Amino acid sequence: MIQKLAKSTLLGVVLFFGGCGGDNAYDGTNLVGGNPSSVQGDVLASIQKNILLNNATTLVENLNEVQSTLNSFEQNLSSAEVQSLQSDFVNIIENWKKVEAIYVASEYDSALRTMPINMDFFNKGKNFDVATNIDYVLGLNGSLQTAQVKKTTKTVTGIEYLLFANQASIEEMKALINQDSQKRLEIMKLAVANVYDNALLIQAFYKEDVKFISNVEDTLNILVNTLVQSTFDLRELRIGEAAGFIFKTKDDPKAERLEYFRSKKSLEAIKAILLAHQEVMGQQSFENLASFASSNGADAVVKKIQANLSNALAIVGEFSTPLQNGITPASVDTKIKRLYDEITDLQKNYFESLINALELTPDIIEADGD
Amino acid sequence: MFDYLTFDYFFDVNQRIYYGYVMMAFFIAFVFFRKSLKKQFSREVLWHKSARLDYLYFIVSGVLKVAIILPLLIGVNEVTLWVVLRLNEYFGYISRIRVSKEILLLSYTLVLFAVSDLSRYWLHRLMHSVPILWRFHRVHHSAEVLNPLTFYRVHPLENILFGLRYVLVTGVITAIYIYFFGAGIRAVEFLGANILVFVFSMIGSNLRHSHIPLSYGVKLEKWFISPLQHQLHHTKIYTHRNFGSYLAIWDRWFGTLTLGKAKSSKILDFGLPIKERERVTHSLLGAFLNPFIKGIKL
Repeated sequence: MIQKLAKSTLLGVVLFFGGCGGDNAYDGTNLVGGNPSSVQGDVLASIQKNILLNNATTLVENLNEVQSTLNSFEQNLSSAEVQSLQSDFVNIIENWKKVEAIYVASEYDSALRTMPINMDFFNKGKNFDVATNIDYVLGLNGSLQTAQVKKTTKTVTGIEYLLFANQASIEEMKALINQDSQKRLEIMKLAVANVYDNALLIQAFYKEDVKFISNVEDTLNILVNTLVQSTFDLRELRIGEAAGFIFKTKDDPKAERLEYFRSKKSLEAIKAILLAHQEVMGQQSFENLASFASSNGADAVVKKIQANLSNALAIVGEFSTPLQNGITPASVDTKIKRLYDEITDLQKNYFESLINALELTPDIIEADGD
Repeated sequence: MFDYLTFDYFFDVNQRIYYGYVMMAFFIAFVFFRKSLKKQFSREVLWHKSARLDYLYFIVSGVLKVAIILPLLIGVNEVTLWVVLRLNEYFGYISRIRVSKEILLLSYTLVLFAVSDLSRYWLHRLMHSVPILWRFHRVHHSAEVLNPLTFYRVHPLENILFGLRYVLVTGVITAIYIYFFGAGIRAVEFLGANILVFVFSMIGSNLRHSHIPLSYGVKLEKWFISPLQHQLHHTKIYTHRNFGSYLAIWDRWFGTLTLGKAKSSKILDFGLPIKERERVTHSLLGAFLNPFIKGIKL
C-alpha cells in the first residue's frame, strides 16, 4: 500500500511539475525590496570600485605620505612639522573610519576578519591600555624595545597617542617627540608602517576580490548587516556611551570615553562614518545600494535613510568646537542628543529596509481556520 | 478589482486550493479511493445545501477578506520592526551571530513552521473551548458535507483572529532571528510557498475537507494529522479532538489526539456535535449573523 502510494505520488509530482512553466521558477528574494532578476552585477562592481576600493586606496596613499614625511625628518622637529603631522593624522582617521564603517572584507577572507580589531583599539581592546604601553617603553633606558610595543604599533589609536599624548599643546608635543633621541618618532614610524601594511592588505583584497560581486543576495545581506552594525557602533559606542545616553553609562557623561578624546577629533571620525554611509546610501554619481534599492521598489525607505544622513551631517556641521567640549559631568550639549536621536532613527530605517525586503506579506491561507 | 475575485486562489501557491494541490488530492483519491471519490462527486454531496453555502461563502468571504479584513490586520513588517526595536532597546544590540546560510534558512523554516503550527493548534482549541469563540467557529463545523471549499467557510471574525495569529507569530519569530542573525532571513521555499507547507499541501491537505478517508497509518498519525483525522474532527462525535493542522504532536502532548485508522470503519457523520444538534439552514446570512444574534438560524 505504502509502496503504491509512494510510486503514485512520485508520478503525480512529476506530472504536475512537468506542466509548470518557467514563470513558477523561484529564485529567492533580495534584501532591499524588489525583484532580484533586475539586479545588475555592475551595481555591486560599482560599490566595490567606487567606495570600498577607493576608500582603501585613499587610506593607503595617506599613510604612504605620512611615512615619507616621517622618514624625511633628519633633525629635531619644528612646531610646524608637529602640527603638519597632526593634520596628517586627521586625514588618516577620516579615511580609516570610512574603510572601517563599510568593512566587508572580513566576510569573504578569514585572514582579514580581525583587521578592524587589530587596527583600532577603541572599545575592543579595553583591557589593553595603549598609552601605558607606550609610556612604559619610552621610559626604558637604552635603545628602543620594539617587541614591547608590537600590539600598540598596529593601531590607529597608538598613532594618536604618539602624536597628541594626553591633549598636549604643540610645544609640549614637540618637546616630547624630540626628547630621548626621538624614540617617540621611531615608534611612530613603526606604527604607521604597520597600519600601512594592513591597509595595503585591505586594498589588495578589494582590488582582486570577485566574491563580492558573485552572489548578489549574500552581498546585499552583508552590506546591510555592516551598515546596521556600523550605525550601532556610531550611536552607542561613539556617542551614547560618552554622553551617558546608554544603559551602561546612564546619566554619567564622561568625554574621556570618546573615541579620539586625546586628539579631540571624535567629531571628524563621526563625520567620516556618516560620509561613508552616504557613499553607499546617498545620491551619488555612481551606482550604489541606494540607486539599486530605489529602482527595486524601496524608494520610500531609501529617502528616509538619505534624510537621516543629511540631517546627521548637518548637526555635525553645527559644532564649532570639538565634540568633547559639549560633554561635561553636569551637562551634555543638546546637539549631541539630537545627533544621537537622528542616528537612532537611521538604524531604525536600516532595520525597516531589511524587514521590507523579506517580503512578509499577509498570507491569506494563514487567515483561515481549519 | 481582480484581487476581489477568489478565482485567483486557484493559481496562488499559498492558497489551500492552489490547482497543483487540488490536482494531487484528486490524483490520490483517484488511485486509492475510487469509491469514495464517486461519493464526493455525487449529487448528494456536491449539491447538498451545505455545499452550496460553501461555494457562495467562498466567493463572498473572499471579497470581504480583501475589502475589510486584510486592511484591518496589522502588517507582519510592522510587528517585526516593532519587536526588533524593542529587543534592541531592552536587551541591547548584539553583534550578529555568524552561522552558515544553510543552517540559518533551515532552522528559520522549521521554527516558523513548528511555532506557527503550535499557535494554530491553540487558537483552534480555544475556538472550541471558549463559549463566545465557539459561537463563531460553529459556522465552520455546521458543514454537513465536506469539500475543499469548506476550508473557507469561516466566520470573518475567525479570519481576523487567525490573521492576527499569523502576523504575531511570523513577526516575533522573524524579529528574534533578525536580532540574533541580522539580514538574510528567509524560509526555504518552493514555487514561493514555505517548503513544508508545500509538501503537506501536496500530500492531501485538500482531502481534509472531503469524503476521502486518507489515513497515514497508526505510527505516522501520532506525528502528522491525516485527512481522516481532520474528518473525524468534523464528525458529531469527535468535534473536540484533533485540533492540529499539520503536526499531530500538539494533540498528542495536550491529550486531544484521536487516531484515524482505528475509527476509519465508522461512518463519518459530519456536522455540529450531538449535544448541539439543531436544524441548520445553511444560509449565508445565518452564517454571518448567528454568532451575534441567537434568534437567527445558522
